[in-house]
Amino acid sequence: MNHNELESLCQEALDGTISSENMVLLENELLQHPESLQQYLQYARLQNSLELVHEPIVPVGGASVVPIERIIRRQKRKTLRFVALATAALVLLSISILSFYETAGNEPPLAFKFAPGTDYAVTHPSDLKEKPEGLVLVKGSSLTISQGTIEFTFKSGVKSILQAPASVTLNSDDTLYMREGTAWFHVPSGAEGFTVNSSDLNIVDLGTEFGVIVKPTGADEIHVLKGKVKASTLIHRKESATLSAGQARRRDPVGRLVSIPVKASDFLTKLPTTLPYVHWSFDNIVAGKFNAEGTHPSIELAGARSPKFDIKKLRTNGPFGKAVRFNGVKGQQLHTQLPGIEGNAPRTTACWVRTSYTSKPNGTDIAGLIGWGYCLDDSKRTQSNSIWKQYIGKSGVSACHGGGVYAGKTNVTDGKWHHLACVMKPIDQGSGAIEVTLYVDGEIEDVTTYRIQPTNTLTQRSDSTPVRIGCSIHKPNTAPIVFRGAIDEVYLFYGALDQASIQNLMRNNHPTAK
Amino acid sequence: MLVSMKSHSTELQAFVKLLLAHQTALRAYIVSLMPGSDDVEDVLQDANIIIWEKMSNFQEGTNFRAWIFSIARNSVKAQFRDNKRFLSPSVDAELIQAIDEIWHQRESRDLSFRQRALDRCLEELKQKHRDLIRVRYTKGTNLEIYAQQIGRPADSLRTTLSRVRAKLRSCVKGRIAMEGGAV
Repeated sequence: MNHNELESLCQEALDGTISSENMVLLENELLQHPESLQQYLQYARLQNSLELVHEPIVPVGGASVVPIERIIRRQKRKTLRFVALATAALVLLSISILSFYETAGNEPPLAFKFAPGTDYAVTHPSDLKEKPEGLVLVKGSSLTISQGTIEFTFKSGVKSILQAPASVTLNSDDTLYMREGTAWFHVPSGAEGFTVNSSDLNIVDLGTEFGVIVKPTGADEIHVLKGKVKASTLIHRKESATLSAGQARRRDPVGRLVSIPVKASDFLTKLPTTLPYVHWSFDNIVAGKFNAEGTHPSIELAGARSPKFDIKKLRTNGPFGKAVRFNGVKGQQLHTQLPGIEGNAPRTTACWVRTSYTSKPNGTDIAGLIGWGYCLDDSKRTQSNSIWKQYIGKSGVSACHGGGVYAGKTNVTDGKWHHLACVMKPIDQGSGAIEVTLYVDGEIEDVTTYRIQPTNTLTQRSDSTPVRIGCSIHKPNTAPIVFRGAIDEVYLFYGALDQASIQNLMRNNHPTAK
Repeated sequence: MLVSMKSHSTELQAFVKLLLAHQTALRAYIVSLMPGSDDVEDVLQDANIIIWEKMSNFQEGTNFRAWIFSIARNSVKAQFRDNKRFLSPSVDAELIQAIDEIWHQRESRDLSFRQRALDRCLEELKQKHRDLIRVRYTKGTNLEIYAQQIGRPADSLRTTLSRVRAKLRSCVKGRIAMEGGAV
């Protein structure tokens, strides 16, 4: 059987249009030729992926709900619950200590150190006689970061700060391959020629400082901050250009380099002392906005303002200085320009809350505390998996949703201040499964989970809602439901905190490392 | 209707986590054993139910993936036997064994490589070819109706679809190889 005949029969089989005679022919071919069987399986996996890709993002009526929900639906007597779990698919090193680790190698091609809270995994080439010791990468080593930040020091003197989620491989002493991540590079004099590759771009330094963004679902970007680089696309037209400081390019679907605004603020240039975070204390007002502080590079987008109200009049006293107070009037909610956290990347939201009412056992939801994303459908029966929201749910319990709905047990609507936190961490990128832990006053809540769907928070659409405080997240141009009560010390961490860090936040109002 | 789920077992939580993490691979495996079948979702659902019911049989430290694949394999065979309306040819036992051997050699992380590679390869297609793929794989859409809408013979679209899929397969394979994954 020639190549074309094999391709044709594989596709006919998977389409369900193959005749019995041809199926016999195909089976014989697959049994006799392992390479043909490999090809058939490639088509089967392609079929599976295409079917999954073309399921609706947000199912109505559960069309693309992960199968575990169907199990539950059919077996109504069966029950289960998700709470905090630790997982290690590879040699995952989970770090929550407060100090940095330095490398001790003798000039390895690449040494690294990491910020507190960083979760990373390193794999070295399997054919190495001796595994490298310490925090180093050698040629062929790969590093994956699920949360946090890593600083690289190359033997040539090149420095880089890599932000999660990220996955890179050291292809040679001066060539780094990026599958995913946001990275800043500083190339000193004498190290020109340093190269960064992705599946779409080839970037050769000509003596400079630059940033690279590689996203699984977007086109790769190069931002030149100082000096010059030569950038080339690796697909179709394979356009090349020499870029200077202040220029940025994104490759388009046909392989051209499209000019985009340079965004130096997307890149960290030094290792932070915590997981990247944003903090709204409501203590300071700058230019009509509640000031935001933190280590996330987009902090300048995080100032929070009310679209209709003078925020000075929304202030009240909180557990730490001033808090913000809402009484359910539309327009009181706080808007920022911060996109929030994309996809199913790990995240933590936390704040102090005091409601101005007491919830009944079957009371309705009380709007959101903090949330963002793209809401496809507002109906109560349909929960969007493309937003992420921490809120107080029915019966006054702490809750969050954005895929599944995760609800605690403790009624916090007693007129007292409570510290609430929601920590989300992906379990597996392939399936989209996540784990969610809720905290009330520093203690882990017994969580009930409803309607499990893969979390896919959408922040990059033109009609996505940036981070908002004190309201629910609805379809674009739909007025939200505004919270009734006071909120203080809102934190958004770009990673999953552990219980000790949540308790530290509650007691000291400081991010993890302080 | 809300579906409430609760339990107090750490083992149960770990089990659910494992099961969720293997759903994509499990479905792909079933697709490979039931080419062209409309019953993939049902078999996946049945396999999940049996896995759930036999949870206590799984021994921690043994190969979870091999265990759930063996259950899925039996579900596929049961579907072949029991569903008399299933008209697509069934894959014979010897071929199932050959398929098994290849699947067991693969690492689960291959699937995330594959998804990213597919996203990029889809992006590289011409818009009309992306539309064709979308029509073929989106539930509720129909190639014949689409052919009428754009004024092309359905057979011609099928030929194009075949070429586009061959291109996608080749592209995904190339990208995964480039990123160091098994193709």
